[in-house]
Amino acid sequence: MRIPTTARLLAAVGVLAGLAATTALAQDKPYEGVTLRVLSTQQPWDAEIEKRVAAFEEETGADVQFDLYAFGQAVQKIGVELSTGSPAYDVFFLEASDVPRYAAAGRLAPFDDAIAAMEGFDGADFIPTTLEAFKYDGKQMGVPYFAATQLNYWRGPVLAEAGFDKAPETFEDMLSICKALKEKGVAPCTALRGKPNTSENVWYWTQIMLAQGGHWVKDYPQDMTPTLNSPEAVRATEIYAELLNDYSIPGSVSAGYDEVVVAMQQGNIAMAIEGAPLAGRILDPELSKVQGELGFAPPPGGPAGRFAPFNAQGWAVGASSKNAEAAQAFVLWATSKETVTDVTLNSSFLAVTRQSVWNDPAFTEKHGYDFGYGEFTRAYAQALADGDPLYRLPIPEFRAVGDRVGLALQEVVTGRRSAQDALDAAQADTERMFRRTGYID
Amino acid sequence: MLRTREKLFCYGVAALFIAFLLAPILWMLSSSFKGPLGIFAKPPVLVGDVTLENYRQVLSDKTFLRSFLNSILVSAGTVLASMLLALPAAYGLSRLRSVAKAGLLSWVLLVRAAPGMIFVIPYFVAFNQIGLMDTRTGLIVINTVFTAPLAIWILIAFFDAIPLEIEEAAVVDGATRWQTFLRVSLPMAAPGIVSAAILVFIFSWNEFLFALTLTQVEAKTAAVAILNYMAYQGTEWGKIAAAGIIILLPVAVFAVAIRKYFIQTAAGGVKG
Amino acid sequence: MSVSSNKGLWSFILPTFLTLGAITVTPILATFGISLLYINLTMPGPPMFVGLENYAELMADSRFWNSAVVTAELIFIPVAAQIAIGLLLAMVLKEKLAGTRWMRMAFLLPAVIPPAVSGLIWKLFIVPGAGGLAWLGGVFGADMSLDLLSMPSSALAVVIVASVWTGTPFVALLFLSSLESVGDDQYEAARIDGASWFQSHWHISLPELRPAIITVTVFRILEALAIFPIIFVLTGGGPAGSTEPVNYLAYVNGFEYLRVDYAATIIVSFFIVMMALCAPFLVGIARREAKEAR
Repeated sequence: MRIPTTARLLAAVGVLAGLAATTALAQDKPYEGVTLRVLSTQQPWDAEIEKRVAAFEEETGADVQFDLYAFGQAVQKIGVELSTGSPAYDVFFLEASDVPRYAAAGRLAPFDDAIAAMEGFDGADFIPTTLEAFKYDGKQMGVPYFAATQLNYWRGPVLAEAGFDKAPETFEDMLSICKALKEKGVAPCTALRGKPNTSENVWYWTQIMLAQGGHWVKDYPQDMTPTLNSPEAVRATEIYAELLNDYSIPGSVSAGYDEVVVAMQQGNIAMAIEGAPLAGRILDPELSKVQGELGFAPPPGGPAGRFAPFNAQGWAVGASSKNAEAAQAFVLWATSKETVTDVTLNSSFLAVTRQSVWNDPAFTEKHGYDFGYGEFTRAYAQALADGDPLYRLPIPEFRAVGDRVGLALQEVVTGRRSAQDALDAAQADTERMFRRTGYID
Repeated sequence: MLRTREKLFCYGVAALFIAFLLAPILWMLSSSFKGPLGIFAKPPVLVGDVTLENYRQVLSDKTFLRSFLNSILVSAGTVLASMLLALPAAYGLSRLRSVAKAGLLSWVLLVRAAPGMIFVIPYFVAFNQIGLMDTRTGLIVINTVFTAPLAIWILIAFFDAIPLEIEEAAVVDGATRWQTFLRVSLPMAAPGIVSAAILVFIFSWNEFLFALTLTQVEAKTAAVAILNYMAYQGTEWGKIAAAGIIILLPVAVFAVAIRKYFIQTAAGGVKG
Repeated sequence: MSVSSNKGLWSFILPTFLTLGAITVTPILATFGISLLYINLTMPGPPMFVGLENYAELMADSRFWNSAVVTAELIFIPVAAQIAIGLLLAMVLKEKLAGTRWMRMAFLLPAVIPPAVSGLIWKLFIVPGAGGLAWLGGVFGADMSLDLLSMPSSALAVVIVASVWTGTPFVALLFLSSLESVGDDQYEAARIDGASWFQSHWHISLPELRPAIITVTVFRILEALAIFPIIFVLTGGGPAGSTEPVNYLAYVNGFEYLRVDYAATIIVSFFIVMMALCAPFLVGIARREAKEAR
């Protein structure tokens, strides 16, 4: 008796399907007994996910443990863990600009297969630049949950008192507004980040530098000669120092974003250029004293245009993770449409990377602050559009360069060196670093 | 006898310094009993809204408790390892008559004087290779690098103080050198051994750099874990103060317990 | 067999010293080896031998020279202050005034408090406008609400004060223990000759303490940079590198910038300089100890 080939094939498929079904049943909780360790920052997102993680644990059987640190400390620890290939953690917080740093050495586990296997993840829903920023060599090395840029938060009535009716267009304008506020004795003008590293003072300063027409290097990626002591960069540094020293509240030299947020929230200053995602905290219903008078605008620019800071933050999985599959499942769950929507609608977190959320009327209703001095979500969208993808250079050495410049900025604001001297030294050190890595001769 | 004016001067100097010494500690003590309002009261208050909440929170924080347990285990392990290494060596050196003695002693001092960072780098690389990263065992090993030389140096003085005649008697009775060491010399040096052990314990308890760089989660000690309270939404000073007091209490008690020997032992070679 | 012979003693000494050699000398040599390599932890591929290239880079590094100056400031200023104040306190404590017993106990505290906690104690004490310093200022009617850690010179001053605070009481107790061997009659005799309290100490105590002063100074110099945890907690080396000594710079390079090779270069250079300065004294102390024993 001859069984037709098709029938035999069908039978085989049936058996396979049955097998698959049984496995699926057996794997009702596929990660039972797996412990996932997350090394990340103490930011609202992490706290919100931690609150909701029980759902993921319930569904998969995994046990997720969070180790959260202050931002700078977290970045430093992650650097050590990833570069030594330590398996102590599975999921890592990463700024997009750090992706090349670790991906180049194969320290990150690509997500492509996991994303392809997950139904309804919908990668096209992401703001394209954010997802793109987490790619290296064409592979998806992490998933962004945070679209970082800055906004100019300004208090309409306070500026009006000094005779201004809109936010400054350029940093030079900002200086003259600050000067007027000071001379008329209206209010301290601003507060800004002074901590010396890539993620603090340099994150702020870069937009001034680019707006003055400066660049990190001569012509990325063809000519990697650093241009940190160009006249534009020097001028930008002088502007930064003047803002900080003459028009900022005391203590800015050692301030991080938290100090700035509190100063604005408490109504101690007239204007602050700070992270757009921090609007929720500045307008915290219980603590805020600037409800009803805050305006939102993209940050100021300069002769060369407007260069709002741009970076994405996300979660990546280490290549040495013993539970990479479970870890990726966790990251994809956390960044899924459902989780993200739930987080944004029930917390102050709003820096989402999913366009569907931005277009959700419920989101705009919750976070679309508008007190008559510029609407929040519009300013945010504008700032994201103004963002320069090369705000930070996507090279493994970028953080070292940024930290060196951060130190130079602090030398200038504390009066230890002139802007020219400090940047000359930073330039020399960076040239040495680049020669070593072979970017320049 | 002091003249009145001189007496006043002495009291003045003493009072001034003791104020400088204690003021910051007392401020932390008082802060540890303050609620959030008292901590950031402007102008500051000496006694705020008195509460035990900070202590309650710190003592129910699992991460902190684990680090506290780690501190105890690592310090105890370091004491054990250091004593095993130091006791025979100190005894041997104390009895040795040889030109090599000065050389070995110099070496002990030089190792003690090396900066911690010079050890951290190779241990960091090696621990990553052999899986001792983030383990209490690893931390005990590198702590011992510093504490064993310290213990040797302290113990030599105590063995020196034991009269040779007593050992001589034991040898005449047919005991071997090791038997003499174990049955006669060790018991006689007991007070010295206890104070050396306590000193090693304190050193290991206070150690920061190695714990900072060579542990991550599992083996992190309290002296480093306390920094977790310096968070992004403002530092939690209440908890830091409470945790600080909890961490410094055991060593303060120990130091007072061995205060008779503390100076001569902690000096570790400073004899004048 | 006699206990005064060396026979059998090496079985006590050798196991320990071989172990110690393995866990101390090997790492120091390894660190020196690492400083001769080019290692990029974030890049694939094995380390590359580059000879003294890292050292050449170090000599041209402005940040290193800045930290060398800071190192000198953080060693010599606090040690000088510790010795001077320590001497004065030892003299005061020698007079058996009321409360000195209690004071001696309090003097133990700063030496045994974990340095990281000491850093936090000081940080809390000087919180701008809300710390103990501001409170004291309020009591005495002075405004002490400045942010001391935001300016280079005042931040350095805070670190120096914290360092003096940690070390001085201990130094005072050391001097005191040496002073206690001086008989009271010597001072009495001087007093009868009309010397003041200070003069009698100047002429009797100081010469007596000379060897102790030298030894204590050497040890305090060697341990001056052990304030690493205090700096880590208080200033993080800032602002603008004003409180960044070389061991901190090495830490930052190794564990923040992940330049292990450069960190090794920095710390090896420092080790060599310190040894050149202090090794003769240490060997001298060891010799004396070796002879002193019966």
